[in-house]
Amino acid sequence: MTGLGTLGLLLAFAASVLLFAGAGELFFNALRWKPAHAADRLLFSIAAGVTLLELAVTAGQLAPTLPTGVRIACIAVAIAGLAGLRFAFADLRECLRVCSALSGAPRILAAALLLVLALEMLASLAPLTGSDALHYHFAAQQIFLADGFHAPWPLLHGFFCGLGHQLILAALTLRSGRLAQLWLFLGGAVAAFATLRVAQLFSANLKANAGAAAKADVWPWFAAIAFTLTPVSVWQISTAGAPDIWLCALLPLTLRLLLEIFRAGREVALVPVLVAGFLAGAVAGTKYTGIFLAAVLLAGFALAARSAGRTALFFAAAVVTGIWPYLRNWLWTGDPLFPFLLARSHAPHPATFNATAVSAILADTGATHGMSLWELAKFPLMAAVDYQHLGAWQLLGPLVLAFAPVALPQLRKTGEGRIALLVWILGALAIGASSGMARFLLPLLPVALAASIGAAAGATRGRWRVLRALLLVSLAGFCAAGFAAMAAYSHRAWSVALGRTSPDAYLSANAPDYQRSQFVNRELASQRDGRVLIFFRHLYYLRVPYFNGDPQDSWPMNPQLLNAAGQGSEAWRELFRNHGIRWVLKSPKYPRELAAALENLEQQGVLAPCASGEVAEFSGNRIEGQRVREPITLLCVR
Amino acid sequence: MARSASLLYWRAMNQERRKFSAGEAFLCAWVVVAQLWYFWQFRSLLAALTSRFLHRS
Repeated sequence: MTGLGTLGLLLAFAASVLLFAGAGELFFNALRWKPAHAADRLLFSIAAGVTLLELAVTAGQLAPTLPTGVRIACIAVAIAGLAGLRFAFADLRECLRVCSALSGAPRILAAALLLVLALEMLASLAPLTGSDALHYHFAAQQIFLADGFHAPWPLLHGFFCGLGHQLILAALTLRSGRLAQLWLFLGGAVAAFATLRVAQLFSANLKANAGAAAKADVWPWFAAIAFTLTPVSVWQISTAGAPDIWLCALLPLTLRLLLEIFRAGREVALVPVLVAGFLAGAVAGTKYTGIFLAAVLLAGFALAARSAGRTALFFAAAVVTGIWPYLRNWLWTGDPLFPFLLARSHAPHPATFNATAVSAILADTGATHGMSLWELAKFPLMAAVDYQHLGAWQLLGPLVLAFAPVALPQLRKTGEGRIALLVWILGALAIGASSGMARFLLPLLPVALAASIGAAAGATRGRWRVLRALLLVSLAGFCAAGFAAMAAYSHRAWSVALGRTSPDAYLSANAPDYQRSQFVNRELASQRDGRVLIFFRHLYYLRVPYFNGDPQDSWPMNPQLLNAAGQGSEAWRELFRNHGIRWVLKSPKYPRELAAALENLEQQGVLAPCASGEVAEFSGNRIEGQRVREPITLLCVR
Repeated sequence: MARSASLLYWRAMNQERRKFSAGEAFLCAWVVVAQLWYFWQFRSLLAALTSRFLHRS
């Protein structure tokens, strides 16, 4: 990408952020709701603007021509953004004024936070390499754009797409995958500032909450920086390409609103209740585990508002906002949480049920994971470790574990603290019990860090000088180590974003299955009709029509049907005919479940080699960088 | 031992003195040990990643 192209992209991104904020401001003005602080207004507005775009794209998807519908949705939100732009500018000016008035350590830490976010934004400009993003976050949207809005049976992870994926769909419709990556980065940036705002609530000793003391407080800034430098956050904010990062923004923002509602008591107006429900609905609609988090927010709201009527209103607003991905899945499959409810209720029959795929998805998402109470208890402390699948994606940092014993008694003292504790602990237990996966705790990390660091600051104010100093040293040490780790992890992404490495060389070295995709693209570039049956996982860089052959992720690739005795090659011939498959890619082997049948087709001459080569692909975890050369063969269907 | 630790913990949480105490020492020890234990769990991963980075650079 040229320097001019990058500059243009950054300008487009900046303009889009202002339009998101403008649309959100307009929405809140229409509701006659205005948070007291400019920073809150800006953060809530951006989150609301993004959610409005997601809802508009959800409606636009239903248009007869999907790209046209999505473009109309983008234009509608942009017009709303323009109408609210002057409010967004006013809030931005106020935020800049407050930031420029900072002095001493908070000023340095604010600059450090902006530097870290700028470096993460730079990394997010690199071409996409995140495994799940290449597999389905981006690839499923490509399929919708190419084939229309249909049930993604050949890519079952497509059913997991929620409201957050509409951002990717919108950006891809606007022909810019990198704009999508920047919009995901925006989620991380909003999350960092939301962490700051929640931590500021808890770090000020509630008994002696003085404005001057709050301004000089370094702890909330450390909480925000610690969030941005936690290894899992660095990955998710910069290069992962996963919309889950928006949960990290929506959750603390909703919590902040719950705390405001708690402070207002029974006098609270209905509008903040609606806004809180709207944001909780966006949490629920982002992904399946978002439902647990939204349920925990509902419990937090009930504790904050202590009103059945208002809790019902919160619930209704959340349902209206977040129900759409589940309604879509229900209409397509009869299971709003496809395939999780189906797996529990269906009497398997090979003609209608791909047991291989369902089992693989249940195992992959941790839905079948069992754990002891001791293992579960580690989840709220962000200290759960799956030794069998040890990976950097579990590195949520030791700060919550270290700070929690100091913070918990402080949090228990106040109503605000108890609400935060409820959301943090209950949410973490729900994630742990349902998935068993530590990385799914990331949406709770901003709340856990803000509450534990903020409350530890409040607890040690005026006493325990040694402990307070030790906590500060721990924070500074974690941030320094996190910065070094970020530099080590992101330097290749920075290099390609700055134009020092070519995108092709970067992708060849860092994107899984990129060389396989390039082989297929090269060999089939001149072909007009037909699809290639592929078995590898990362589909985003394929530029020719393909059909996903992975029996663990493609409903039609049902081994029970395709390997059925007595059917021979007829089932395969029917599959090839129905889906226009003219080629099969073998790289280096076929999936274990289908290998015997496909090798039989080779022996029968149904599949014959028509091109071959060699590619270098990752062996084991990508982050370990081990690569092996392996053969790749394209077979023609005869 | 767990009972003594919990007693020390609750005493520490309820003290308002500025003077360094056994309770504060207990909390300091927790902060250090918790971080060491956390990273100890990831020792094989961290060692592999560090050696890979050092090898490459």
